Amino acid sequence: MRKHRSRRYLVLAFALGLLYLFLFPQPSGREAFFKPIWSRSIPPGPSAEADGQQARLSWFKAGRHFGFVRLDGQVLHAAEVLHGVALSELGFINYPRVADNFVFQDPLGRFLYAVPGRGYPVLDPGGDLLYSVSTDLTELQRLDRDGEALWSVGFFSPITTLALSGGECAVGLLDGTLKLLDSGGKITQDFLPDPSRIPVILGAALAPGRLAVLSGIDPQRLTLLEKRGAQYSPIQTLDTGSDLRREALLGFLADGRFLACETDAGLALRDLRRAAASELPGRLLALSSTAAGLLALGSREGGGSRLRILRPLSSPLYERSLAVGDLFLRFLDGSLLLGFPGRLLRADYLEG
Amino acid sequence: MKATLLALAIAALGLPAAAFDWPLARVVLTATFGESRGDHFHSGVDLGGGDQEIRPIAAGELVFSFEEGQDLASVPVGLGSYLVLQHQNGVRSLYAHLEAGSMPRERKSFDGSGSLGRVGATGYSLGKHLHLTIIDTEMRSLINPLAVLPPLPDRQTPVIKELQLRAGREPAVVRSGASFRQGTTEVLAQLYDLREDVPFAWRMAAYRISLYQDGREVAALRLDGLHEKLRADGSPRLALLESGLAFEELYQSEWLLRIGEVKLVPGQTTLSLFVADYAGNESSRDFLLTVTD
Repeated sequence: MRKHRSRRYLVLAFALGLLYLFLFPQPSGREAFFKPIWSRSIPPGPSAEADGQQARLSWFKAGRHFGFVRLDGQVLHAAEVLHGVALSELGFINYPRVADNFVFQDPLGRFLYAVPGRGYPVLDPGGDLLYSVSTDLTELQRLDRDGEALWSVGFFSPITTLALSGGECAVGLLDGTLKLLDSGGKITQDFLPDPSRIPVILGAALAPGRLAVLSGIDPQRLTLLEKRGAQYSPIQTLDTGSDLRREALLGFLADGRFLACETDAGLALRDLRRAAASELPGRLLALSSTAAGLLALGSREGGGSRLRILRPLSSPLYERSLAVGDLFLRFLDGSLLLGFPGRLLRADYLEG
Repeated sequence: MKATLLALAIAALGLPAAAFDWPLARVVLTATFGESRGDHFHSGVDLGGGDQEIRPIAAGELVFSFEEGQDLASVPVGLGSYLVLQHQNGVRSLYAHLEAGSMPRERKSFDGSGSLGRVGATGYSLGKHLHLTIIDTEMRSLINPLAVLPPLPDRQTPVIKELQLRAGREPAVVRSGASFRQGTTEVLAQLYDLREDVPFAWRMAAYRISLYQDGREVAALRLDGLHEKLRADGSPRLALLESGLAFEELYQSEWLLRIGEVKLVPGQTTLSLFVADYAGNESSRDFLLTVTD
């Protein structure tokens, strides 16, 4: 009799549970979509002027144009790239093909300072540090705001890749060595990857305490290093099976868990916590990621491009072919800025 | 240390100089190795000669390439569209400022005759030309391409424009018979070679410079090659192979070079400057000084 009663209670509890879920459904967290917020033509019309409000802003690129935009859609500054542009959170240096000076301007396009410079400029993402790379790629300098070289280093072998993080520089060279420089320009480590038939550094990524290096031809190797004390030590070396003969994009995603590495076939995403990887096809055009593990990826597709938004190792949440062959992607939290020739738009990632 | 490191380097390559050929059918030398580029040495030679195909200097394999406007790059590339080939014995050749879209991107192996692309003006360039750099990865140095490529016709003699002595901050131009105070002084010289094919003065770097005082050699330098020289703080800097001079130690301005130091003692002394280009054309000038107490 007691047994029957307890079974009845169980059935009743199950039925009540089903009724609750039916009456008060819970979002699964897997339903995701992108909501277009605004779209702007670039360059904007003459009426577009900043209204002085404080809102989060970001630099952008849209084809041959670049500029700064507030998340509410107010374009603060837009101009055509002369030959190249170094962009940072504090401002930009838009430089011509043959330049004698670096002119640093703020996000509104106002003059901040100018320094003599014979090479091409590089800004750290924050905009506080200014570097100059000689036009033959053999010298790297850090400059102060008076144009004085705080330090300089010269290599017999041209620089093939440069990664910056917190004042530290990883400089990859054509001869197959990678130099790590501290904020004072002192070489703290010479990293020589495992030998390949042809030594060369093809890519480097630097994040606090972590370094990744793509090197060599036959075989092509990806080496992951961790900082132990003052030095980086290899923790894993993989043969990528690729045969790239150009710089490859290599970067730690913003979530700190995944590493993106270009391959012959496209882009490999490697989970650094466990031995898992996936590969996305297509020659890479643009890449951006969020701390929440969202990845926006643009790749070439015929004469146009393909945009994918996904979580690494999962199916794309959003995928679309675009007629444009030039793409800019930048996540700011859950907002994605998407730039292509003539237009910039913002779409927000929403769940629920 | 007077033995030429360049000769050793070429010997170390294991190849006769003729193993390499010029990469253009029509070669016009417009800039030489080691010239001043404002804040660094010119790391190769510049070749004009108009719109033409580029060939490898020898059979080789593609190591690295960059196509301006197409490839992503973490570093701004002043070389424009460029590629690098690997040859025997660790020698690499770099071809820069190629015309956009002219590089055969899918090809990885080149015999001595295949096209690498066309002469262009991509990157930091004022006009169409080919920048050629030769790298010896085994000797860890950049080699003056004129040392390993076939000789070019050259009848122009280098120019010694003037000699200057600098004991304090301001240098003084040396004129024969002029008086200078005794002591150790730096010797600066404004000198250059001239381009062969134009009637106006198109300056290029000379190759070999020697300074004599009363018949005794007091300074000698050659623009043979560049290697990494460590400074006191351990950071590397490119410096000339033999003399070990870094850019800022040699160049006072674009064509004014610091040759060395001399010690002046009361009486008369003769400073003789010899300058040669790579073809062996030489110029020399003597400067008679009176040294006072």
